[in-house]
Amino acid sequence: MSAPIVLLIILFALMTLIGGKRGVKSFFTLLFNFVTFLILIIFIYFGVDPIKVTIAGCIIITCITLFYINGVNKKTVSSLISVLIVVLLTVLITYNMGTEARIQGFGYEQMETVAYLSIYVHLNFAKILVCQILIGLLGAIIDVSISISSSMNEVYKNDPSITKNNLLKSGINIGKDILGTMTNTLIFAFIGGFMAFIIYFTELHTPLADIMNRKVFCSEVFQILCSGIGIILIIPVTAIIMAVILMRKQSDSEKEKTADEIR
Amino acid sequence: MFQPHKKAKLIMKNIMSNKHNRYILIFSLVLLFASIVSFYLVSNNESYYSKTIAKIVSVTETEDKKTENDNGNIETFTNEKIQAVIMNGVHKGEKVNFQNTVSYSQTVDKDMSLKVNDEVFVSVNEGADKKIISAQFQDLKRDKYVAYIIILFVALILLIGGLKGLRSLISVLFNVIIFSVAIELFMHGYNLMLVASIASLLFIIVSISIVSGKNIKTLSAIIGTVAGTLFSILIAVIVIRITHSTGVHYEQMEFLTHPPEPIFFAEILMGTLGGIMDIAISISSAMNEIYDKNNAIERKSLIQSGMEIGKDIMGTMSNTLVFAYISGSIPIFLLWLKSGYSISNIIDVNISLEVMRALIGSIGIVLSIPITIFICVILLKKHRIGET
Repeated sequence: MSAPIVLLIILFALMTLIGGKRGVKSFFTLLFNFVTFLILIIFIYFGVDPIKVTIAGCIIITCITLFYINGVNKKTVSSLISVLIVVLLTVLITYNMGTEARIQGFGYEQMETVAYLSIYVHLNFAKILVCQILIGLLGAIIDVSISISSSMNEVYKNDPSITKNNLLKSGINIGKDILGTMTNTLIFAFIGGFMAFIIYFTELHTPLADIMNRKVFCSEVFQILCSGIGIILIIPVTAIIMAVILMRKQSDSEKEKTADEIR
Repeated sequence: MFQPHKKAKLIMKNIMSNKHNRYILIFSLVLLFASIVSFYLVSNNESYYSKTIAKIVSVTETEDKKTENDNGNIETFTNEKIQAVIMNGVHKGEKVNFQNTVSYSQTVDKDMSLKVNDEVFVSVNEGADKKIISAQFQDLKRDKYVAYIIILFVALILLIGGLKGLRSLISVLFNVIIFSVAIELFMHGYNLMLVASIASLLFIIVSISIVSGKNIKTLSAIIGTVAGTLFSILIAVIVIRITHSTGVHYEQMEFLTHPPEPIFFAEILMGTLGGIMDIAISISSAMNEIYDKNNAIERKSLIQSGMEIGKDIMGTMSNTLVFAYISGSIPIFLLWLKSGYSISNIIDVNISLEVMRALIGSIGIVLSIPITIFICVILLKKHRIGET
């Protein structure tokens, strides 16, 4: 048996053992998401616009992750809306900056990797870069968004008379707490992939001024920082959307109450 | 014993917050100034480079050409005639002309479309009289874009995160320093795994202390992270040894200047760390909160609420890691597909390392849940005995 298969079995066993029913669901979410990822790549392969495919893929992945594990409710719906907004914002930022900096595709140092592959494939790699960045940060923004919306829901449950402003404030405060650890998670995940390449540059004594202009370095830095920007943006967006959704429900029920009193 | 202390803290906080506002104002002004200065510096730094830099003043596109290559891919090529002004060195101010061929995909290295006002590195050939005979396009000057995105990130994190954002930034900075020292040590011949382990230990201690301060919560999160990371790496090593590295294709690693296995393990170690740290902090701070609210809570129900939280975050957290890892392989995945490889072959061979990384990271995340709960319970119990 190959090592990845053994690891997959171990992961399934651990998730079932520790997470019970929800663990099994989490495991299948991972599989579904991986399959969605493959389908997304196949669509891009056949020449469909990468950005449109990616946005559609992001919606599907977010729906699977949120609704399959947590069900359809105020928390998950507001998270879905917030994730969508942040995905669109990130597209705006990364597409403009990424095209300007021309960090698509592969750098000079990666020539060996693509040496035996066709490189003239009639695909827009600048758009594929956006796809790469969005997929990379999607998991993180879903995570942060659902954490904030479910905490805000708890806050609201404990004190239904809370004002919209205070609810918003507590949402942002919760978000700030998550911010630090989440940026760490992503930064380390990317540093993991960064290492061989930093060693490579250090070994060759490439001057810093040179490294700063290399495509490989720039695209890596872009990916890390765009993910960071996504995580930062999701905090106020989720807080605002969740506050609006919770308060709308509240004003509806208040109206009903007053209507009852009049009767 | 607890109440007055907390009250005092609250009052202190209120007093501080007025001052905080003033600090924040001063701080944002300093920040604004700093970003304007750095903006200016990276936009006008040509004279600091020894390489020749040219600014493009005109681009004329000539003929579009279509070609078909081996795998039936049809590609369009465009020729660009470019006129540029040299910005630095002895030839400053002189005009040069060169050609640039661009493909539709713009996949590799210098294959990129150029625009007016782009700054590029060029190599110039001089004649006997030190006059420029011809020039060649080398690469785009990208430093200002790196600076822009860094400025945007820092500004946003401080604007939305406030002081906590500043803390996160400081922790990122510390980690970058630790990382560079570790690489430097490795370059001087120290064992990579040893250096990476020590660096990881420092990463964990620094990041968690900065995020959650000096208290029991931090201690249990640190121990939980260390133990969780250790166990997941151990599992990875055992599995790879037992299967004799079947299905682990080290030859797919890029930028290799050293034997791949230790580098792969060091990468896994650092990659898993962040996710496990996140889980450990969430669980230990929640359990502390529950314990603080109800000191008489039974051990069993404390463990149960810990597990409940763990189940909640396990799915989304492993999702985060999986996407962070596989996203990087999208461009190469497409090239392989276009070169005629099958999907199953690509998953089995070409992205096997990314899949392994994601799996080991997820295993670490799941494992660290019971480990952190166990450590929390032990530490809290000790703490209670110490109190009474």
